[in-house]
Amino acid sequence: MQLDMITILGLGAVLIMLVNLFQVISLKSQISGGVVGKSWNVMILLVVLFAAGYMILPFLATMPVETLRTIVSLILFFGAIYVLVTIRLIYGIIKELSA
Amino acid sequence: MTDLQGVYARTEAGLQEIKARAHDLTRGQRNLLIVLDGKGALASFAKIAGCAPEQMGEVLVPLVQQGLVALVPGGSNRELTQHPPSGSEPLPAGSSQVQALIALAERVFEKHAGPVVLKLEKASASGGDLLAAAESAAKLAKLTIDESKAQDFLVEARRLISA
Repeated sequence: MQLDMITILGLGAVLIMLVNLFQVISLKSQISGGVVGKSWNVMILLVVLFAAGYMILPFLATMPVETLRTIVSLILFFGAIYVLVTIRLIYGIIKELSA
Repeated sequence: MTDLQGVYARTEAGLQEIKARAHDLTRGQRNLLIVLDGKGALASFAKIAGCAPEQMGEVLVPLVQQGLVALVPGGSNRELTQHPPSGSEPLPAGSSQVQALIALAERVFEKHAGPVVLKLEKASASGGDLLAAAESAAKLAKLTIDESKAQDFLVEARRLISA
C-alpha cells in the first residue's frame, strides 16, 4: 500500500471514527433515556454507519468512479443527518437548562 | 403489633447502614430507613416504603431487630416493638429532607438513580439550597433518564421540601 497523504488522512479518519464509536457506546450506559437518550440511539447508529463507511477508504483507488460517487453521496447524506441530530440535541439541552 | 402512630428515628447503626449497605435490606426497608427522621408517624411513610400503612410493620420490624431504627421516646406512649442494642441512640433529624429526597430518587428512577443521588448528596455536602438541588437533579433526570419520571420526581420533591 502506497503511504501518501490521502492514505494517511484516510487512516487517521478511520482511527478517529473508531474512538468516536467507542465513546458513543461507552456513554450509552450513563444515558438511559430522556432528551439526550432519544437522540443517542440515532447517533450510535450513525457513528456505526460512518465507521463502516470509513473502512472502505483503503480501497478507494480500486473502485469504479460511479461506486465512489455513490459512497461519497451516502457519506455526505448521513453526515448531514448527523449534524441535524446534533444541533437538535444541543437545542434541546439549552432549552431544558434555560427553562 | 406495630404502632402505626409511633415515631421512629434512625440510630447510629442505621446511619452507617445508609452509607455502607452492609445489611440485605429490601428497597422498601432502605427507603424507610432513609426517611425515618424522628418526626412523622410511621404510617405517614407508607408511600415511601412502597406498601400499605397496615403492612408497615413487616417493613419496620427487621429494621428495629437489627438496631437500625428505634422508637423515639415521647413520640408515642404506646408499645415499642423491640429496643435497639445498647449504645445506639436515635439521631437528630438534621439531613432528613436530603435523605428523603434520595429515597424518593431511588424509588422513582430505580436502577438509574445513581447520578441524581450523587447530585443531591453533593448539594447536601456543600450546604446549598435543597429546592435548587432538587430542581437541578430533575433537569439532569429529564435529560438523561426519563422526562415523565423527572417531572414526577420534581412534584414529589417540592411537596417533601415544603412539608
